[in-house]
Amino acid sequence: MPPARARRFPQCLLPTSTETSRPAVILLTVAGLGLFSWGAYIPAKAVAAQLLLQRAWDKARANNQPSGILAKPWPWADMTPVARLSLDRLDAHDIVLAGAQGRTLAFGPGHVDGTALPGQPGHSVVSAHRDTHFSYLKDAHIGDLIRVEQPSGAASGYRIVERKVIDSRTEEVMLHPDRDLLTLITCYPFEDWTPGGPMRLIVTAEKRF
Amino acid sequence: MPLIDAIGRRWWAFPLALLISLAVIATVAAASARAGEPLGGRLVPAAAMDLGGLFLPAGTTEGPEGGDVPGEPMVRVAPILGTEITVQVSGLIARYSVTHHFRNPTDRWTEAIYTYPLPTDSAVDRLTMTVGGRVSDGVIKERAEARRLYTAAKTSGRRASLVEQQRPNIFTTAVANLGPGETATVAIQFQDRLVFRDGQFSLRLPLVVGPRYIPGRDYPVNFAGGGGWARDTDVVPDASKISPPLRRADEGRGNPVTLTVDISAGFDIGAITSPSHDIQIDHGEAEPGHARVTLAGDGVPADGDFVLRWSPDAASAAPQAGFFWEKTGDETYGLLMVMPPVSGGAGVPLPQGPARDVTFVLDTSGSMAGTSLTQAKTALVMALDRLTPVDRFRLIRFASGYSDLTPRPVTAETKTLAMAKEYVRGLQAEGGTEIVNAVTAALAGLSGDDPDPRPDDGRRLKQVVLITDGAVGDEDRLLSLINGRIGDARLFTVGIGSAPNGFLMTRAARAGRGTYSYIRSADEVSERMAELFLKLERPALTDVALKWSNGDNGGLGADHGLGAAGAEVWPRRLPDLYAGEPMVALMKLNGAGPQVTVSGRLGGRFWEQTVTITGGAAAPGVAALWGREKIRHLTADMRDAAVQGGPDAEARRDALRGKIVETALKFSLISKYTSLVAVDREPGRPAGTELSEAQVPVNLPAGWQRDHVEGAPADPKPAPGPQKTLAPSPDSLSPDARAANAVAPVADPDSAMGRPEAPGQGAALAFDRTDPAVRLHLAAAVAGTPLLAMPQTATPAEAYMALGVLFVVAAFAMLLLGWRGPRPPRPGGNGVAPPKPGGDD
Repeated sequence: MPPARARRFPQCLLPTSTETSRPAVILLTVAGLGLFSWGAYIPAKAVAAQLLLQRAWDKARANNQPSGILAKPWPWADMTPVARLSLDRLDAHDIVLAGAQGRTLAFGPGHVDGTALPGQPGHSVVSAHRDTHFSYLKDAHIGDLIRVEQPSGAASGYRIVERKVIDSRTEEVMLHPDRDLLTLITCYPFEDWTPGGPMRLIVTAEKRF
Repeated sequence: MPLIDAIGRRWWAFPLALLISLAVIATVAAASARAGEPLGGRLVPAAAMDLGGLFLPAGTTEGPEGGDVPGEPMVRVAPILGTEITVQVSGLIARYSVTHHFRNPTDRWTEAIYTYPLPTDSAVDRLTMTVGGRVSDGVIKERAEARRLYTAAKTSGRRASLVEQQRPNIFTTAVANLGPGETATVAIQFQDRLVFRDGQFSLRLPLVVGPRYIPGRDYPVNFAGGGGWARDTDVVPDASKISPPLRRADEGRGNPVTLTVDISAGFDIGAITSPSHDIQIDHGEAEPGHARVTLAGDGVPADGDFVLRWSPDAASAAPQAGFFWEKTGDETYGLLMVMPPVSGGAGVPLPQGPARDVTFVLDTSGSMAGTSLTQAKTALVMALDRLTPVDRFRLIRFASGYSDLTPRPVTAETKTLAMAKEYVRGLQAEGGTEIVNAVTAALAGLSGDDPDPRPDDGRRLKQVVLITDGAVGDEDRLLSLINGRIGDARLFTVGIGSAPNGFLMTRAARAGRGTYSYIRSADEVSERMAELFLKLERPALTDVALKWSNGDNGGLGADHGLGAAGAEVWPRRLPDLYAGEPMVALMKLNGAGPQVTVSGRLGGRFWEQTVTITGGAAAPGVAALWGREKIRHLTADMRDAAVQGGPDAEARRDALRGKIVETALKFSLISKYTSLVAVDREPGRPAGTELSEAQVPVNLPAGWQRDHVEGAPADPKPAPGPQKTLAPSPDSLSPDARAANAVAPVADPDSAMGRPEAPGQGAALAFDRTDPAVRLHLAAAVAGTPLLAMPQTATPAEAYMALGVLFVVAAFAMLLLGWRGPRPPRPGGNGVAPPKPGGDD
């Protein structure tokens, strides 16, 4: 979406002659390409990281070893996978990583520290970017089954029981450690093209097995 | 070519371009970070979102983390509940009014859900919801329809209340759209008939649903959709609906109850006692047949059954027969009670019963830990002491598994009895409650291959005494088992503890054609057991039948309780009567009468008594009780149909279901298939506000030990520190692992010592005496903390890409301008307006 306000070129960049305009043109082109590729790099990285992570996870499962100590998906990977989430109806599969900081969120959904691990008793919270790993939450609805595979191979299933949008400035996500829940958090609305909005989509699923 | 030249000449353009693009990125990032600032630093800034190198090592760049500060654990406050119960006793019928006061102490709109017990087969026929001074009456609907109405009201923001039956003795009340700080009152009314046995009337009102053992494998989906701590399983498909969350140990006891019982006995009342609670008795100025009983104290926590017993005073004889009726429209319903001769009374000498084979089945599961097991052991030792050398006995204990003291019945000699008593004393309570396997073993041992047949074996009484608290969720399975396998044996149940499962105990005894004895407290053990021994040792009144003077046999033996002259009598087949028990039958008269003769065989003799039913006392509630009794039978038929199977099982079940619904709607009764729903007319919750659901946590039944039962909430404190490392994960499908996870590791010295957690203990428990409206409500809190760190969850990828496109488009625009425009430079040639970039779409 284009910005609502049309941008005007700064006067200094307007060409006065071919000779003087040339460096400016080159500068703009290179900067534009740089920006574009940087932007494209983010989702590309997100997709590629998941592919590598899934491959490592599957390999660990095939060898019947806990996926927690899976072979490094790439040589300098330094994250800990904690679970694999699958929403089969939307053909979505993600390896969840420990910690929901920027670093981990670049590669996969992040498990929020201090909450229960997915699949284990208690309330687990996982968050991911609305425009990468959790883009499918746009189409997730109440009743969908989310499968959770723990590094041990233990499988469990959560059924989506609630889907709501909150304003993070005024509302909070409540934790219920006495219930077996899985809450997925991502930004909202999905169509927004700039980051930093206050709205969050909260999808809560309850453990069924 | 000119471009390459330009590059060659202006080599510095590259670093400059890079520098500028970096500057732009930094600007965007900073702007994003600022956008996060109003959120109090709780969000991870967007700038941190694309950190981490995949195609290249990211080095040590660690994004700023604004949201990782764990806050003080805050307390989510659950709806506060207070219960007010009034009981009007009139003759044999008690009319209860149970009022639940819900208060929402939070600042958000809440749906409060409370799971609570009622006496088994309570005929709940009225619901009244009061919110903000407006009273809404409940209407009876089929279950699905009631839920639909409730959900519609809930979604639209109106206050609504729904009362559903989960078991004949477990009900759920839901109140939707309770505003911040708002109070709602949900009152239900029902009737029950009193138990009259051994010359004593008794009233038993359960107050808490204890955590139950849920056998079976977890279903992949909680089909029942309840909010309890248990998962639905293949054996208990609605486990999530009968397992309300428990209050934590550090919350103390809550859910206070006030109770008033007004008794109009119909005779002069002698002693009134309660083995369960401290009571105050006010005999009043009026006749000696009246009394008002209240609980001592200012509201007691709902953590065990309330039991009240009273008997006629010595001067007035106990009632021998009674008839109560109610006319609704042109139909007359009656409740007939006839007391067969009591041993030693009325000049009927009772013969000593024959030799017995007694199988004792003792529950040693975790829920029995503490006072319950002590009482059970005392009772069992007393029962063993009653055996004579002609009797034989077997002893089975069960928890997750079961074990036999001896594989076969052994003669009750001094040596064997001593061994048995020693074994009993050493038993510990731990583990699950796999009651079905144990009872299967007990019943199997009674029939068939006896290696030591004696000449008189054909005449031995085969008895099973099941001592348990019945804290299981798979009642139907046990009842079907007993129904199918009881043969000529008799099964007696002995309920133990503060909150046994009365539904299971009475039904099992009925299916086993025995009796149910309930031992509420340790003081009662010898008294109740003495009554049980009388029933075990004396012959019962068998072949009980009713005969009307106008020729109708009351429909006994007929298929659906319908007799020739139309009297519809429930129960269909009158049970055997043990010493001290009255015959009780509910009937729709349809012109039958005016006299009815009750007959039976007692130890080989014929006995009969004729009662005139033209008189009797009008008693409101009899019709509803009749309806409830009919529903009970139809439900039992459904269970049997399910067990027998067959090609037409489904059709039979549907037909029975239809009859149950029809009966329930006619008498406006809550049943398995009908619910009461009340909807407020006024809108409540404004559109757009969120509604959160909260279960009212219940007390652990008094005397239970927290660390021995599943379902007790785990340590309420959030795990200290972030869980960076991976703990070995328990197999989520293993019940053992589940139990291990569910069991609270919290030290709970009070309950571990078997002492009830009295009100006043614990900081969370305090009566708010300043607010008269909630005088009896307890401040309660439930585990729950707000999630403080809410990460920023969008990347600037789109923004970067859009900006990049913008730059490139601008560059091209300039390039075009640069070549076309000023070829011969002209004054004003620069005046051409630059094209407006079209953005990225």
